[in-house]
Amino acid sequence: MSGSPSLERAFPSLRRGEYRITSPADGRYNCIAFAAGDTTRYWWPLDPLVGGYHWPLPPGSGRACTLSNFEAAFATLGYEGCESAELELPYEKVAIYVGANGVPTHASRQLASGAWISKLGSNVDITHRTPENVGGRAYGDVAIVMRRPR
Amino acid sequence: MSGPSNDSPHQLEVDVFSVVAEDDYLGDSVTMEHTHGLLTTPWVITGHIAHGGSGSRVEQLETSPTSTKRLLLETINREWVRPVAALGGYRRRGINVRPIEAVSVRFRQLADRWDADTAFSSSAHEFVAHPAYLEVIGMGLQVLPFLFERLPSKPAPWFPALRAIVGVDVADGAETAEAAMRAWLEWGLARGYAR
Repeated sequence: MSGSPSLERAFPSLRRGEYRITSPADGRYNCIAFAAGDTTRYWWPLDPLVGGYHWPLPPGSGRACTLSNFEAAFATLGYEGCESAELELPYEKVAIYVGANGVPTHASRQLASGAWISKLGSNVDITHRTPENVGGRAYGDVAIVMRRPR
Repeated sequence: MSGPSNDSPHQLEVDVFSVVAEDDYLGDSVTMEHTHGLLTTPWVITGHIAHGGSGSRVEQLETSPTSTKRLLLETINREWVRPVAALGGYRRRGINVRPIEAVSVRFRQLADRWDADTAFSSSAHEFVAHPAYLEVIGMGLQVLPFLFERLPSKPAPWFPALRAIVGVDVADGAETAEAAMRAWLEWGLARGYAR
């Protein structure tokens, strides 16, 4: 699929970066689920959860919408913190973004090619060149990068 | 709230209304006593009524110049009716009637604005706090037919709203968004809220 002007307005860095839309819009999963490899449900720390939503941490403090909880959620999948988003072939990496208030907004995942993939809310999936391509106004900045063996 | 004119048909929606009828009216015409003054032109009710553990979908209302209306009932399923106690007894008053056009137009305005403003947001906290989303929840049961129509195009973000409107999570335990959507649509279909 070709690019989208509305995407490029929302994510100005996509004008400069190479990106490609890889799926139609789909409101059954979100970016956190997609980064976690799950395209069947929404991942978000609601407390209580509603049907169709998932969060791997228990109710209570585990459902607070904090960076540490998002980090802990990906840790349940075997990810641990790492220094950079540079490609390391033995590892699969995820990047977690926070807005200006420090609240998590987004996650993206690196492919073995070095490209990154993102699900944009309930909208489309894209591949993009760097994690920063989807940073900025909509999702803020990358706060933490995690990795796990491929 | 302004009512429909007398010379053109309007659809109206009823959330909860009082029924003054015999104990067994299934398949029969009954008299409905209403407490609202808008029921003046030919219209169709898309809500449902509860009565003594059995129920009927209201398919059509025949109007008359008086305040007494005739209901043509079609039995659908005895299972879908909420307990009469949940409605406070079958003689409970309190008709909630708005022209369907007004509800549908307002819902579409709100949902379109919410869609545009949260187009790329994954944060459930962010999209449920949006003023348009909160207003949709505040519209209550009358918005369900329109919300169910829209549900397949963007299901998961609407699940928290559905739970807030209905008061229970019909899809509780659903492992996938697809399963949750099916649960909601089946629930809505059984109660006359979805088609």
